[in-house]
Amino acid sequence: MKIDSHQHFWKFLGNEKDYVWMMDEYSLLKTNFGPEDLAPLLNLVDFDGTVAVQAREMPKENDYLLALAKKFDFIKGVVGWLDLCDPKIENDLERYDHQPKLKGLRMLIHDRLDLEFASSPNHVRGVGLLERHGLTYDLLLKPQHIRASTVLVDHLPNQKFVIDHIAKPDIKMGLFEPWGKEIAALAERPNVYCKLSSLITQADWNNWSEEQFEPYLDHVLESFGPSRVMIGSDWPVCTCVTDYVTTMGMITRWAAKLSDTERMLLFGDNCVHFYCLEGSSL
Amino acid sequence: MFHEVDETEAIATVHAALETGINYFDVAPAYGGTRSETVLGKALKGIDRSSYVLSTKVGKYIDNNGQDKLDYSRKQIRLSIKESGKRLGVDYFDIIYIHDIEYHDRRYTELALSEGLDAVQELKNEGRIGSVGFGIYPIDLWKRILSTLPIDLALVHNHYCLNDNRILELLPIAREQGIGIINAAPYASGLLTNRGPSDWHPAGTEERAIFKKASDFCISQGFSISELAFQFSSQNPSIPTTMFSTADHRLLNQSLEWFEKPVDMGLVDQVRNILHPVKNKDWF
Repeated sequence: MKIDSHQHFWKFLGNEKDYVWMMDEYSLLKTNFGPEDLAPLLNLVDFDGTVAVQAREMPKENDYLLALAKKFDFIKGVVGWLDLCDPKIENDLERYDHQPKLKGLRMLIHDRLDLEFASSPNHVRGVGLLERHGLTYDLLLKPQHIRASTVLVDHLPNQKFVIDHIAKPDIKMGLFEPWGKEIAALAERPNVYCKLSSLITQADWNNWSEEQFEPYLDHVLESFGPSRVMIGSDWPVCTCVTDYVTTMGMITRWAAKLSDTERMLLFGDNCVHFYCLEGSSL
Repeated sequence: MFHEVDETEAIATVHAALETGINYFDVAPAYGGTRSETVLGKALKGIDRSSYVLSTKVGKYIDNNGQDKLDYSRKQIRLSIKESGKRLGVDYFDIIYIHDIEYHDRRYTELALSEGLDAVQELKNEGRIGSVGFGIYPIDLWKRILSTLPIDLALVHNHYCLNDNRILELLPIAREQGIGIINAAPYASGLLTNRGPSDWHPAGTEERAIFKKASDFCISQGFSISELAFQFSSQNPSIPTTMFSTADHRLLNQSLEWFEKPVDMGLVDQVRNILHPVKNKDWF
Protein backbone atom coordinates (compact mmCIF):
# COMPACT_ATOMS: atom_id res chain seq x y z
CA MET A 1 0.00 0.00 0.00
CA LYS A 2 1.40 3.38 -1.03
CA ILE A 3 0.71 6.15 1.44
CA ASP A 4 1.30 9.89 1.38
CA SER A 5 2.25 10.30 5.04
CA HIS A 6 1.56 14.01 5.28
CA GLN A 7 -1.17 16.20 3.86
CA HIS A 8 -3.74 18.69 5.11
CA PHE A 9 -7.36 19.65 4.51
CA TRP A 10 -9.06 22.86 5.37
CA LYS A 11 -12.26 24.72 4.86
CA PHE A 12 -10.65 28.12 4.77
CA LEU A 13 -13.64 30.12 3.63
CA GLY A 14 -15.64 30.96 6.72
CA ASN A 15 -12.78 29.98 9.05
CA GLU A 16 -10.16 32.49 7.89
CA LYS A 17 -9.09 33.39 11.41
CA ASP A 18 -8.22 29.79 12.33
CA TYR A 19 -5.24 29.55 9.98
CA VAL A 20 -3.00 32.12 11.62
CA TRP A 21 0.15 30.72 10.04
CA MET A 22 -1.00 31.60 6.51
CA MET A 23 1.01 34.76 6.01
CA ASP A 24 1.05 36.67 2.72
CA GLU A 25 3.38 34.23 0.98
CA TYR A 26 0.74 31.52 1.43
CA SER A 27 -2.03 33.45 -0.32
CA LEU A 28 -2.57 30.55 -2.75
CA LEU A 29 -3.64 28.41 0.21
CA LYS A 30 -6.40 30.76 1.28
CA THR A 31 -9.23 28.72 -0.14
CA ASN A 32 -10.81 25.32 0.54
CA PHE A 33 -8.85 22.10 0.06
CA GLY A 34 -10.85 18.94 0.63
CA PRO A 35 -10.63 15.19 -0.03
CA GLU A 36 -12.44 15.57 -3.34
CA ASP A 37 -9.54 17.76 -4.51
CA LEU A 38 -6.87 15.32 -3.40
CA ALA A 39 -8.43 12.00 -4.49
CA PRO A 40 -7.82 12.48 -8.25
CA LEU A 41 -4.23 13.55 -7.55
CA LEU A 42 -3.59 10.33 -5.63
CA ASN A 43 -4.81 8.40 -8.66
CA LEU A 44 -2.39 10.30 -10.87
CA VAL A 45 0.60 9.15 -8.80
CA ASP A 46 -0.95 5.74 -8.08
CA PHE A 47 -1.02 6.12 -4.29
CA ASP A 48 -3.61 4.34 -2.15
CA GLY A 49 -4.06 6.56 0.83
CA THR A 50 -2.93 9.40 3.03
CA VAL A 51 -2.44 10.57 6.57
CA ALA A 52 -4.26 13.87 7.18
CA VAL A 53 -2.42 16.14 9.58
CA GLN A 54 -3.82 18.98 11.68
CA ALA A 55 -3.33 22.54 10.51
CA ARG A 56 -5.05 24.37 13.36
CA GLU A 57 -4.22 24.27 17.04
CA MET A 58 -7.79 23.72 18.18
CA PRO A 59 -9.72 20.62 19.31
CA LYS A 60 -12.37 21.08 16.61
CA GLU A 61 -9.63 20.27 14.09
CA ASN A 62 -9.68 16.67 15.34
CA ASP A 63 -13.41 16.36 14.84
CA TYR A 64 -13.21 17.95 11.39
CA LEU A 65 -10.46 15.61 10.16
CA LEU A 66 -11.98 12.49 11.78
CA ALA A 67 -15.31 13.23 10.09
CA LEU A 68 -13.54 13.43 6.72
CA ALA A 69 -11.64 10.22 7.43
CA LYS A 70 -14.89 8.46 8.21
CA LYS A 71 -16.33 9.54 4.89
CA PHE A 72 -13.28 9.02 2.68
CA ASP A 73 -11.63 5.66 2.89
CA PHE A 74 -8.37 6.87 1.34
CA ILE A 75 -7.71 8.91 4.53
CA LYS A 76 -6.11 6.09 6.47
CA GLY A 77 -5.21 8.06 9.54
CA VAL A 78 -5.44 11.44 11.24
CA VAL A 79 -2.78 13.34 13.18
CA GLY A 80 -4.71 15.69 15.41
CA TRP A 81 -3.98 18.34 17.99
CA LEU A 82 -4.46 18.64 21.71
CA ASP A 83 -2.77 20.95 24.17
CA LEU A 84 -0.50 18.37 25.71
CA CYS A 85 0.81 20.93 28.20
CA ASP A 86 -2.64 21.20 29.77
CA PRO A 87 -2.56 19.60 33.25
CA LYS A 88 -5.98 18.04 32.52
CA ILE A 89 -4.90 16.52 29.22
CA GLU A 90 -5.69 12.96 30.39
CA ASN A 91 -9.43 13.64 30.14
CA ASP A 92 -9.08 14.96 26.61
CA LEU A 93 -7.04 11.97 25.53
CA GLU A 94 -9.66 9.57 26.89
CA ARG A 95 -12.31 11.23 24.76
CA TYR A 96 -10.49 10.04 21.66
CA ASP A 97 -9.79 6.48 22.78
CA HIS A 98 -12.61 5.18 20.62
CA GLN A 99 -11.55 6.97 17.45
CA PRO A 100 -9.51 4.31 15.61
CA LYS A 101 -8.51 6.68 12.84
CA LEU A 102 -6.87 9.11 15.23
CA LYS A 103 -3.31 7.81 14.98
CA GLY A 104 -1.28 10.55 16.55
CA LEU A 105 -0.98 14.13 17.65
CA ARG A 106 1.15 17.09 16.76
CA MET A 107 1.85 20.46 18.33
CA LEU A 108 3.47 23.31 16.43
CA ILE A 109 6.79 23.12 18.23
CA HIS A 110 8.51 25.21 15.59
CA ASP A 111 6.27 28.19 16.21
CA ARG A 112 7.24 28.35 19.87
CA LEU A 113 9.59 31.10 20.93
CA ASP A 114 11.04 28.92 23.65
CA LEU A 115 13.62 26.75 21.90
CA GLU A 116 13.48 24.39 24.88
CA PHE A 117 9.71 23.96 24.61
CA ALA A 118 10.02 20.35 23.42
CA SER A 119 11.94 19.36 26.54
CA SER A 120 9.94 21.54 28.97
CA PRO A 121 8.40 19.49 31.82
CA ASN A 122 4.74 19.99 30.91
CA HIS A 123 5.32 19.04 27.30
CA VAL A 124 7.36 15.96 28.21
CA ARG A 125 4.64 14.91 30.63
CA GLY A 126 1.90 15.36 28.02
CA VAL A 127 3.74 13.53 25.25
CA GLY A 128 4.55 10.84 27.82
CA LEU A 129 0.83 10.00 28.06
CA LEU A 130 0.44 9.20 24.37
CA GLU A 131 1.96 5.74 24.42
CA ARG A 132 -0.74 4.29 26.64
CA HIS A 133 -3.38 5.72 24.29
CA GLY A 134 -1.64 4.18 21.30
CA LEU A 135 -0.85 7.56 19.76
CA THR A 136 2.24 8.68 17.87
CA TYR A 137 3.74 12.17 18.02
CA ASP A 138 4.73 14.27 15.01
CA LEU A 139 7.71 16.53 15.67
CA LEU A 140 7.24 19.76 13.70
CA LEU A 141 10.67 21.36 13.98
CA LYS A 142 13.09 23.76 12.48
CA PRO A 143 16.80 23.07 12.93
CA GLN A 144 16.94 25.16 16.09
CA HIS A 145 14.43 22.85 17.80
CA ILE A 146 16.20 19.55 17.17
CA ARG A 147 18.34 19.58 20.29
CA ALA A 148 15.50 20.02 22.76
CA SER A 149 13.51 17.40 20.84
CA THR A 150 16.35 14.96 21.30
CA VAL A 151 16.04 15.51 25.06
CA LEU A 152 12.29 14.88 24.80
CA VAL A 153 12.87 11.63 22.91
CA ASP A 154 15.43 10.50 25.46
CA HIS A 155 12.82 10.91 28.19
CA LEU A 156 10.38 8.68 26.28
CA PRO A 157 12.22 5.77 24.64
CA ASN A 158 8.99 3.80 24.03
CA GLN A 159 7.02 6.62 22.41
CA LYS A 160 6.87 6.61 18.61
CA PHE A 161 8.01 9.92 17.08
CA VAL A 162 8.19 11.10 13.49
CA ILE A 163 9.98 14.24 12.32
CA ASP A 164 7.96 16.28 9.82
CA HIS A 165 9.64 17.76 6.75
CA ILE A 166 13.14 16.56 7.75
CA ALA A 167 13.11 19.40 10.34
CA LYS A 168 13.13 22.10 7.65
CA PRO A 169 16.78 22.76 6.82
CA ASP A 170 17.32 26.00 4.90
CA ILE A 171 17.65 24.53 1.42
CA LYS A 172 17.16 27.94 -0.14
CA MET A 173 20.41 29.17 1.42
CA GLY A 174 22.07 25.78 0.94
CA LEU A 175 22.69 25.44 4.69
CA PHE A 176 23.54 21.97 5.96
CA GLU A 177 25.16 22.15 9.40
CA PRO A 178 24.34 21.97 12.22
CA TRP A 179 21.07 20.50 10.92
CA GLY A 180 22.96 17.53 9.47
CA LYS A 181 24.78 16.66 12.64
CA GLU A 182 21.83 17.20 14.92
CA ILE A 183 19.26 15.26 12.91
CA ALA A 184 21.74 12.38 12.65
CA ALA A 185 22.04 12.41 16.43
CA LEU A 186 18.26 12.34 16.79
CA ALA A 187 18.12 9.50 14.26
CA GLU A 188 20.27 7.39 16.58
CA ARG A 189 17.13 6.97 18.70
CA PRO A 190 15.36 3.94 17.19
CA ASN A 191 11.87 5.21 18.09
CA VAL A 192 12.20 8.23 15.76
CA TYR A 193 11.09 8.14 12.12
CA CYS A 194 11.36 10.85 9.50
CA LYS A 195 9.03 12.14 6.79
CA LEU A 196 10.64 13.02 3.49
CA SER A 197 8.17 15.81 2.93
CA SER A 198 7.93 19.48 2.07
CA LEU A 199 11.54 19.89 1.02
CA ILE A 200 10.27 21.91 -1.89
CA THR A 201 8.84 24.61 0.36
CA GLN A 202 12.24 25.00 2.06
CA ALA A 203 13.86 25.81 -1.30
CA ASP A 204 13.69 29.04 -3.26
CA TRP A 205 10.10 28.95 -4.53
CA ASN A 206 11.03 30.65 -7.77
CA ASN A 207 14.36 29.03 -8.40
CA TRP A 208 14.73 25.42 -7.27
CA SER A 209 16.05 22.29 -8.85
CA GLU A 210 15.72 18.65 -7.86
CA GLU A 211 19.50 18.31 -7.44
CA GLN A 212 19.34 20.74 -4.52
CA PHE A 213 17.36 18.21 -2.49
CA GLU A 214 19.63 15.25 -3.07
CA PRO A 215 22.24 15.83 -0.32
CA TYR A 216 19.47 16.41 2.23
CA LEU A 217 17.55 13.29 1.18
CA ASP A 218 20.72 11.20 1.10
CA HIS A 219 21.67 12.36 4.57
CA VAL A 220 18.25 11.58 6.04
CA LEU A 221 18.20 8.15 4.44
CA GLU A 222 21.66 7.39 5.69
CA SER A 223 20.82 8.62 9.19
CA PHE A 224 17.46 6.86 9.64
CA GLY A 225 18.01 3.90 7.35
CA PRO A 226 15.40 2.58 4.91
CA SER A 227 13.03 1.32 7.62
CA ARG A 228 12.32 4.67 9.29
CA VAL A 229 11.64 7.08 6.42
CA MET A 230 8.33 7.79 4.68
CA ILE A 231 7.27 9.88 1.73
CA GLY A 232 4.95 12.83 2.29
CA SER A 233 3.70 15.66 0.12
CA ASP A 234 2.60 18.35 2.56
CA TRP A 235 -0.21 19.01 0.09
CA PRO A 236 -1.68 21.59 -0.35
CA VAL A 237 1.19 23.63 1.09
CA CYS A 238 3.46 22.24 -1.64
CA THR A 239 1.20 23.82 -4.27
CA CYS A 240 2.65 27.22 -3.36
CA VAL A 241 5.70 25.99 -5.25
CA THR A 242 4.59 23.28 -7.64
CA ASP A 243 1.86 20.70 -8.25
CA TYR A 244 1.24 17.45 -6.40
CA VAL A 245 2.62 15.18 -9.11
CA THR A 246 5.91 17.07 -9.30
CA THR A 247 6.21 17.12 -5.51
CA MET A 248 5.77 13.37 -5.19
CA GLY A 249 7.80 12.76 -8.35
CA MET A 250 10.77 14.58 -6.87
CA ILE A 251 11.11 11.95 -4.12
CA THR A 252 10.24 9.14 -6.51
CA ARG A 253 12.98 10.11 -8.96
CA TRP A 254 15.52 10.44 -6.15
CA ALA A 255 14.47 7.01 -4.86
CA ALA A 256 15.14 5.33 -8.20
CA LYS A 257 18.57 4.39 -6.90
CA LEU A 258 17.08 2.38 -4.03
CA SER A 259 16.16 -1.29 -4.14
CA ASP A 260 12.54 -2.37 -4.76
CA THR A 261 12.16 -3.33 -1.11
CA GLU A 262 13.54 -0.03 0.11
CA ARG A 263 11.16 1.84 -2.14
CA MET A 264 8.19 -0.14 -0.81
CA LEU A 265 9.19 0.79 2.70
CA LEU A 266 9.63 4.45 1.81
CA PHE A 267 6.42 4.72 -0.23
CA GLY A 268 4.11 3.15 2.31
CA ASP A 269 5.14 0.21 4.45
CA ASN A 270 7.05 2.29 7.01
CA CYS A 271 4.14 4.70 7.28
CA VAL A 272 1.61 1.86 7.72
CA HIS A 273 3.81 0.34 10.40
CA PHE A 274 4.49 3.63 12.17
CA TYR A 275 0.90 4.87 12.33
CA CYS A 276 -0.61 1.35 12.52
CA LEU A 277 -2.79 2.05 9.49
CA GLU A 278 -5.33 -0.45 8.34
CA GLY A 279 -5.83 -0.94 4.65
CA SER A 280 -9.52 -1.68 4.71
CA SER A 281 -9.72 -1.41 0.93
CA LEU A 282 -6.88 -3.87 0.36
CA MET B 1 21.12 58.20 18.41
CA PHE B 2 18.56 59.65 16.06
CA HIS B 3 17.57 62.86 17.79
CA GLU B 4 19.22 65.74 19.54
CA VAL B 5 20.83 64.53 22.70
CA ASP B 6 21.79 66.60 25.70
CA GLU B 7 25.46 65.95 26.29
CA THR B 8 25.41 66.27 30.06
CA GLU B 9 22.47 63.93 30.31
CA ALA B 10 24.10 61.44 27.94
CA ILE B 11 27.25 61.36 30.03
CA ALA B 12 25.22 60.95 33.22
CA THR B 13 23.44 58.02 31.57
CA VAL B 14 26.71 56.27 30.78
CA HIS B 15 27.85 56.74 34.38
CA ALA B 16 24.54 55.48 35.71
CA ALA B 17 24.84 52.43 33.44
CA LEU B 18 28.32 51.64 34.74
CA GLU B 19 27.04 51.91 38.31
CA THR B 20 24.26 49.42 37.70
CA GLY B 21 26.68 46.88 36.29
CA ILE B 22 26.24 47.46 32.56
CA ASN B 23 29.73 46.99 31.20
CA TYR B 24 29.36 46.94 27.44
CA PHE B 25 29.01 50.03 25.25
CA ASP B 26 28.56 50.09 21.50
CA VAL B 27 28.80 53.08 19.21
CA ALA B 28 29.53 53.92 15.57
CA PRO B 29 31.06 56.79 13.66
CA ALA B 30 27.80 56.98 11.71
CA TYR B 31 25.77 57.73 14.85
CA GLY B 32 25.16 61.45 15.05
CA GLY B 33 27.89 62.07 12.49
CA THR B 34 30.68 61.08 14.95
CA ARG B 35 29.06 63.00 17.82
CA SER B 36 28.04 59.80 19.61
CA GLU B 37 31.66 58.68 19.71
CA THR B 38 32.83 62.05 20.96
CA VAL B 39 30.26 62.19 23.76
CA LEU B 40 30.83 58.57 24.77
CA GLY B 41 34.57 59.35 24.81
CA LYS B 42 33.94 62.18 27.27
CA ALA B 43 31.81 59.93 29.43
CA LEU B 44 34.41 57.15 29.53
CA LYS B 45 37.29 59.50 30.24
CA GLY B 46 39.02 58.56 33.47
CA ILE B 47 37.22 55.26 33.73
CA ASP B 48 39.39 52.17 34.07
CA ARG B 49 39.60 50.75 30.54
CA SER B 50 39.53 47.19 31.85
CA SER B 51 36.17 47.77 33.54
CA TYR B 52 34.13 47.94 30.35
CA VAL B 53 33.86 46.37 26.91
CA LEU B 54 33.79 48.81 24.00
CA SER B 55 32.84 48.33 20.38
CA THR B 56 32.49 50.64 17.45
CA LYS B 57 31.86 50.10 13.77
CA VAL B 58 33.54 50.73 10.45
CA GLY B 59 32.46 51.29 6.87
CA LYS B 60 29.45 53.58 7.24
CA TYR B 61 29.76 57.32 7.70
CA ILE B 62 27.65 60.45 7.40
CA ASP B 63 28.92 63.11 5.03
CA ASN B 64 28.52 66.88 5.48
CA ASN B 65 25.13 66.80 3.78
CA GLY B 66 23.85 64.20 6.21
CA GLN B 67 23.96 61.42 3.61
CA ASP B 68 25.15 57.85 4.28
CA LYS B 69 28.52 57.12 2.81
CA LEU B 70 29.82 53.56 2.60
CA ASP B 71 33.50 52.70 2.35
CA TYR B 72 34.81 49.24 3.25
CA SER B 73 38.27 49.66 1.79
CA ARG B 74 41.30 48.63 3.83
CA LYS B 75 42.62 52.17 3.81
CA GLN B 76 39.39 53.65 5.12
CA ILE B 77 38.92 50.98 7.78
CA ARG B 78 42.40 51.54 9.21
CA LEU B 79 41.87 55.30 9.21
CA SER B 80 38.40 54.89 10.69
CA ILE B 81 39.62 52.92 13.68
CA LYS B 82 42.35 55.43 14.35
CA GLU B 83 39.87 58.31 14.30
CA SER B 84 37.29 56.48 16.40
CA GLY B 85 40.05 55.70 18.91
CA LYS B 86 40.92 59.39 19.12
CA ARG B 87 37.31 60.45 19.62
CA LEU B 88 36.77 57.79 22.27
CA GLY B 89 40.15 58.24 23.92
CA VAL B 90 41.11 54.58 23.63
CA ASP B 91 43.78 52.68 21.72
CA TYR B 92 42.02 49.32 21.78
CA PHE B 93 38.56 48.14 20.76
CA ASP B 94 37.19 44.92 22.18
CA ILE B 95 35.03 44.47 19.09
CA ILE B 96 34.81 46.04 15.65
CA TYR B 97 31.65 45.55 13.64
CA ILE B 98 31.50 46.10 9.90
CA HIS B 99 28.45 48.32 9.61
CA ASP B 100 25.31 48.16 7.44
CA ILE B 101 26.93 46.40 4.49
CA GLU B 102 23.53 45.87 2.85
CA TYR B 103 22.85 49.60 2.45
CA HIS B 104 22.77 51.26 -0.97
CA ASP B 105 21.05 48.22 -2.51
CA ARG B 106 23.92 45.92 -1.55
CA ARG B 107 26.27 47.61 -3.97
CA TYR B 108 29.11 47.41 -1.46
CA THR B 109 28.25 44.11 0.18
CA GLU B 110 30.78 41.89 -1.59
CA LEU B 111 33.56 44.42 -0.99
CA ALA B 112 32.71 44.52 2.71
CA LEU B 113 32.71 40.72 2.92
CA SER B 114 36.12 40.45 1.26
CA GLU B 115 38.45 43.43 1.63
CA GLY B 116 36.53 44.88 4.56
CA LEU B 117 36.59 41.67 6.57
CA ASP B 118 40.24 41.04 5.66
CA ALA B 119 41.17 44.51 6.88
CA VAL B 120 39.44 44.03 10.21
CA GLN B 121 40.97 40.56 10.64
CA GLU B 122 44.40 42.10 10.08
CA LEU B 123 43.75 44.62 12.85
CA LYS B 124 42.81 41.73 15.09
CA ASN B 125 46.02 39.87 14.22
CA GLU B 126 47.97 43.02 15.02
CA GLY B 127 46.31 43.12 18.45
CA ARG B 128 44.60 46.44 17.84
CA ILE B 129 41.15 44.96 18.32
CA GLY B 130 39.83 41.92 20.15
CA SER B 131 36.98 40.53 18.08
CA VAL B 132 35.46 40.92 14.66
CA GLY B 133 31.84 41.01 13.61
CA PHE B 134 29.18 42.46 11.39
CA GLY B 135 26.32 44.74 12.33
CA ILE B 136 23.64 44.26 9.67
CA TYR B 137 19.94 43.42 9.24
CA PRO B 138 19.08 40.98 6.38
CA ILE B 139 18.49 37.39 7.48
CA ASP B 140 19.69 35.85 4.21
CA LEU B 141 22.98 37.70 4.52
CA TRP B 142 23.30 36.64 8.14
CA LYS B 143 22.87 32.99 7.23
CA ARG B 144 25.52 33.28 4.58
CA ILE B 145 27.95 35.10 6.85
CA LEU B 146 27.42 32.88 9.87
CA SER B 147 27.85 29.69 7.91
CA THR B 148 30.82 30.71 5.77
CA LEU B 149 32.90 33.55 7.26
CA PRO B 150 35.40 33.57 10.13
CA ILE B 151 33.90 36.10 12.54
CA ASP B 152 33.58 36.18 16.32
CA LEU B 153 30.35 38.10 16.84
CA ALA B 154 27.12 39.01 15.14
CA LEU B 155 25.27 42.17 16.09
CA VAL B 156 21.75 41.30 14.97
CA HIS B 157 19.16 44.03 15.20
CA ASN B 158 15.38 43.94 14.99
CA HIS B 159 15.12 40.15 14.83
CA TYR B 160 14.12 39.27 18.36
CA CYS B 161 11.38 41.63 19.37
CA LEU B 162 7.62 41.26 19.69
CA ASN B 163 7.17 41.56 15.91
CA ASP B 164 10.10 39.40 14.78
CA ASN B 165 11.68 36.16 16.05
CA ARG B 166 13.97 35.25 13.18
CA ILE B 167 17.07 35.39 15.37
CA LEU B 168 16.05 31.91 16.52
CA GLU B 169 16.93 30.54 13.08
CA LEU B 170 20.41 32.00 13.38
CA LEU B 171 21.19 30.53 16.79
CA PRO B 172 22.10 26.96 15.75
CA ILE B 173 24.30 28.16 12.89
CA ALA B 174 26.10 30.58 15.18
CA ARG B 175 26.52 27.93 17.85
CA GLU B 176 27.93 25.51 15.29
CA GLN B 177 30.52 28.06 14.17
CA GLY B 178 31.28 29.34 17.68
CA ILE B 179 29.98 32.82 16.89
CA GLY B 180 28.38 34.95 19.61
CA ILE B 181 25.09 36.71 18.90
CA ILE B 182 24.17 40.09 20.31
CA ASN B 183 20.50 40.92 20.13
CA ALA B 184 19.90 44.60 19.46
CA ALA B 185 16.83 46.83 19.18
CA PRO B 186 14.30 45.41 21.67
CA TYR B 187 11.99 48.35 20.90
CA ALA B 188 12.18 47.54 17.16
CA SER B 189 13.58 50.94 16.23
CA GLY B 190 10.70 52.70 17.94
CA LEU B 191 7.88 50.52 16.59
CA LEU B 192 7.29 49.11 20.07
CA THR B 193 6.88 52.40 21.90
CA ASN B 194 3.84 54.45 22.84
CA ARG B 195 4.83 57.31 20.61
CA GLY B 196 5.68 55.07 17.65
CA PRO B 197 8.67 55.21 15.32
CA SER B 198 10.25 58.36 13.93
CA ASP B 199 9.37 59.63 10.47
CA TRP B 200 12.42 57.99 8.90
CA HIS B 201 11.13 54.52 9.73
CA PRO B 202 9.89 52.77 6.57
CA ALA B 203 6.68 51.48 8.21
CA GLY B 204 3.66 52.75 6.30
CA THR B 205 0.43 54.22 7.66
CA GLU B 206 -1.39 50.87 7.88
CA GLU B 207 1.57 49.22 9.56
CA ARG B 208 1.94 52.03 12.05
CA ALA B 209 -1.74 51.60 12.84
CA ILE B 210 -1.15 47.92 13.69
CA PHE B 211 1.61 48.86 16.13
CA LYS B 212 -0.61 51.60 17.54
CA LYS B 213 -3.32 49.03 18.12
CA ALA B 214 -0.84 46.83 20.01
CA SER B 215 0.34 49.79 22.04
CA ASP B 216 -3.24 50.84 22.86
CA PHE B 217 -4.03 47.28 23.92
CA CYS B 218 -1.09 47.37 26.34
CA ILE B 219 -2.25 50.70 27.78
CA SER B 220 -5.70 49.21 28.31
CA GLN B 221 -4.02 46.43 30.30
CA GLY B 222 -2.23 48.99 32.45
CA PHE B 223 1.31 48.93 31.13
CA SER B 224 3.35 50.23 28.22
CA ILE B 225 4.25 48.17 25.17
CA SER B 226 7.89 49.12 25.74
CA GLU B 227 7.88 47.28 29.04
CA LEU B 228 6.64 44.08 27.46
CA ALA B 229 8.96 44.56 24.48
CA PHE B 230 12.02 44.98 26.66
CA GLN B 231 11.21 42.06 28.91
CA PHE B 232 10.47 39.83 25.95
CA SER B 233 13.68 40.65 24.07
CA SER B 234 16.01 40.48 27.03
CA GLN B 235 14.76 37.42 28.90
CA ASN B 236 15.14 34.54 26.46
CA PRO B 237 17.74 32.24 28.03
CA SER B 238 18.98 31.22 24.57
CA ILE B 239 20.01 34.84 23.90
CA PRO B 240 22.27 36.07 26.70
CA THR B 241 23.05 39.62 25.48
CA THR B 242 20.54 42.27 24.51
CA MET B 243 21.63 45.75 23.46
CA PHE B 244 19.47 48.85 23.73
CA SER B 245 20.09 52.55 23.40
CA THR B 246 19.05 55.50 25.50
CA ALA B 247 20.60 58.85 26.35
CA ASP B 248 18.34 59.48 29.31
CA HIS B 249 19.24 58.02 32.69
CA ARG B 250 15.60 57.81 33.79
CA LEU B 251 14.78 55.67 30.77
CA LEU B 252 17.81 53.55 31.55
CA ASN B 253 16.59 52.97 35.10
CA GLN B 254 13.11 52.32 33.78
CA SER B 255 14.42 49.63 31.41
CA LEU B 256 16.38 47.98 34.19
CA GLU B 257 13.33 47.94 36.46
CA TRP B 258 11.38 46.26 33.69
CA PHE B 259 14.15 43.75 33.17
CA GLU B 260 13.90 42.62 36.80
CA LYS B 261 10.27 41.58 36.33
CA PRO B 262 9.62 38.31 34.47
CA VAL B 263 7.79 38.74 31.19
CA ASP B 264 4.10 37.79 31.12
CA MET B 265 3.98 35.32 28.23
CA GLY B 266 0.18 35.43 28.16
CA LEU B 267 0.33 39.12 27.33
CA VAL B 268 3.13 38.47 24.85
CA ASP B 269 0.85 36.04 23.01
CA GLN B 270 -1.96 38.58 22.89
CA VAL B 271 0.29 41.36 21.61
CA ARG B 272 1.94 39.08 19.07
CA ASN B 273 -1.52 38.14 17.81
CA ILE B 274 -2.26 41.82 17.21
CA LEU B 275 1.11 42.23 15.48
CA HIS B 276 0.64 39.08 13.42
CA PRO B 277 0.04 40.90 10.10
CA VAL B 278 3.54 42.39 10.35
CA LYS B 279 5.25 39.34 11.85
CA ASN B 280 8.81 38.88 10.59
CA LYS B 281 8.33 41.61 8.05
CA ASP B 282 11.50 43.06 6.53
CA TRP B 283 11.76 46.78 7.26
CA PHE B 284 15.26 47.60 6.17
